[in-house]
Amino acid sequence: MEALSTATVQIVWTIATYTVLSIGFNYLWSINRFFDIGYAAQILVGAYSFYAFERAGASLPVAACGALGISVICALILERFVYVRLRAQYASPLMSLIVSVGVLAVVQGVVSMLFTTQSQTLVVAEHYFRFSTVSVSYSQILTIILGCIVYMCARYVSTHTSFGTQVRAVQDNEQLARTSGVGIARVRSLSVMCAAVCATVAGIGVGLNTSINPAFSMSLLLDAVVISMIFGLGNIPRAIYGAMLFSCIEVASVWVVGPGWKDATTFSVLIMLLLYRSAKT
Amino acid sequence: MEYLIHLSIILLIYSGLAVSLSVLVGKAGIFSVAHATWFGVGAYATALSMFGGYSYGTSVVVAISVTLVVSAFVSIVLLPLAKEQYAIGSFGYSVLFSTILIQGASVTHGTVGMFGIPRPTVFGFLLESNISFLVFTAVVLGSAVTILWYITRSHFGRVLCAIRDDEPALKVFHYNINHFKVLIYAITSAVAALCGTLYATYVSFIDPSSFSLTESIFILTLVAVGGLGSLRGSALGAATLMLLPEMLRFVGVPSESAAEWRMVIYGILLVYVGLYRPQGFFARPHLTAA
Repeated sequence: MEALSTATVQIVWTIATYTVLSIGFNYLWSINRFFDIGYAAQILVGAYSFYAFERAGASLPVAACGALGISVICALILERFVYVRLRAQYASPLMSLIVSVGVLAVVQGVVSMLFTTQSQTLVVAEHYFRFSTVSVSYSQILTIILGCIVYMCARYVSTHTSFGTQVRAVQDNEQLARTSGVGIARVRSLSVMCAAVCATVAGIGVGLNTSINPAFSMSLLLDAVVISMIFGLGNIPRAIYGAMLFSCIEVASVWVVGPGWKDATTFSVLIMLLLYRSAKT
Repeated sequence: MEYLIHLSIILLIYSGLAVSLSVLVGKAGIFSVAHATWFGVGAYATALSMFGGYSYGTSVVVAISVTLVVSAFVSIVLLPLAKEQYAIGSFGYSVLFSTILIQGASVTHGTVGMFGIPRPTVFGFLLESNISFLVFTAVVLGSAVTILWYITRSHFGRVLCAIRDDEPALKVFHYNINHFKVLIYAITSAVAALCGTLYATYVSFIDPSSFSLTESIFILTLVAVGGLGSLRGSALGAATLMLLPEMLRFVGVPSESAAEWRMVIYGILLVYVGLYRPQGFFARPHLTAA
C-alpha cells in the first residue's frame, strides 16, 4: 500500500514536471518549427541560476525569481542574436538543429567551468511531509503546485487570449499571419519568454528532487520531445495528456523491467508511436 | 614522435567516421544521430569475437556483417518517418544501444567496459608497434573512403543526391527510393563499424561512454564544421576539431578545464557555421546543406 502511494506521488510529480517541460518545448516548436535542442540550454541556465542564487544565500522565492529573470534574458539574447539570423537566412531544419546543438554545447561548457561537472544538490529538498503512509517532499509539493499553475495559465493563454491565437496563427502559416497584422517578432519574443519560464520551472523542479549536472538537461529535453510528439507538436492544451501517458509508461517500465531500462522503454514506445502515426498519414 | 603517431591514428579513425556520416547526411539527406551506435557495434562485436578466440580478420567480418544486418533493419523501421522524426527515431536507437551496453553487463561488462582487447594480427604479422598500426589504419580506411568516394561519384551517388533534393520527383521516374536509402544507411554504418574495429583494437579498452549519444553529436559536429556532403571537408573538419585539444594545450589552457573549453569552442564553431558558413569551413562554396 505504501509503495503504491509513493508511486502515485511520484507519477503526479512526474506528470507536473513533464507537462511544464512539454509546454515550453511546444512554445518553441510553434515559432521555430524545428527540434530546438537549445531548450536544454534554457533548462540548464534556469536550474544553475537557481543553484547560484541559493548558494549565495538567497531565499527560495528570491532564488526562483532570479533564476527566471536570468533564464528569460538569456533566452531573449539567443533569440535576438542567433535564431532571428537563422530565420533570416531561411536555414534548413537540419542546419537550425546543428546551431541549437552548438548553443547547448556552449552553455554546457560554461556551466561546467563555473560549477564543475559534478552533480549538485539543491538544499530545499531536505524537508518532508507525512500524509498517512505517504511521505512527500516539500519540493515535490512545490513542483506539483507550480506544474498545475503553469498548465492552467498556458491553457488559458492558449485558448482564451489573442496571444494564444496569434501563436497558433504563426505556427500554421507565418506569411498569412503577417499579412493579417500579427506582430511576428512580438509573438516570437513572448513565446521564447514562456518557454524559458517553463524550462526554468522544470529544471528547478527536477533539481530539487534529484540533482543537477551539466548533462542532465539533455535527457529532459528528449522526454519533452517524446511527450510533445504523442499528441501532436505545438498542441499546448494537450501537453498534459502526453505527460500523463509518458509518466505512466516510465513508472511502469521501472516497475516491470527495472530502472536501467527506463529510457530504452520510453524511446521504444516513441519509435512505435511515430511509426503508427506515419502509417496513419 | 610516438605521440604524433597516436594522434594520427585517432585522427584517421574519426575522419573515417566523419566521412561516412557526411555521405549519409550530406549526400543522401538522411539525418541520423546514431552513427556512434554503429561505431560501437563494430567495436563490441570485434572485442567479443576476439575474446572468443577468433582472429582479427574473422572478427571484422563478424562486426561488419552484424552491422549491415542490424543497420538495414533499423533503416527499414525508420524509413516511413519524415526528416526530423527520423532524427528523433535515431536518437531512440542510440539510447537503446547505450542501455543494452550498460544493462547487458554479463556480455558487455556494463559501465566497467572491456579491457585488454588484443592488437590485430594481419597475414601473420602482429601490429604491436603504433607505426605499423598507423599504416594498417591508413590502408584500411583509405580503401573504405575510396569506396565511399566512388559511390558518391557513381550513378548510385547521383540518385542519392536527387533523393536529398527532391524525393517526390524521383518517385515519378519509378526509382525504388527505399532501396537506395536502406543500402546507403547500411554501407555508411558498416564503415563506422570498421572504424570501431580499429578503435577497439588500438585503444584496447571500450566502454559505453565512447559510443553514446554525445559521441554521435560530436561526429555530427565534425561533419558540420568540415562541410556536409563534402568528403574532403569532413575529413579536414575532423582533423581540425581533433587537433583542437592539442592546440588548447599549446595556448596554455589548464588541463583541468580543457574539456570545458573544447566544448565551448565546438559550440561556437557550430553556431558560426550555421549562421555564416552553412557549407562548412572546408567544403567548396557551391555545396549546400541538406
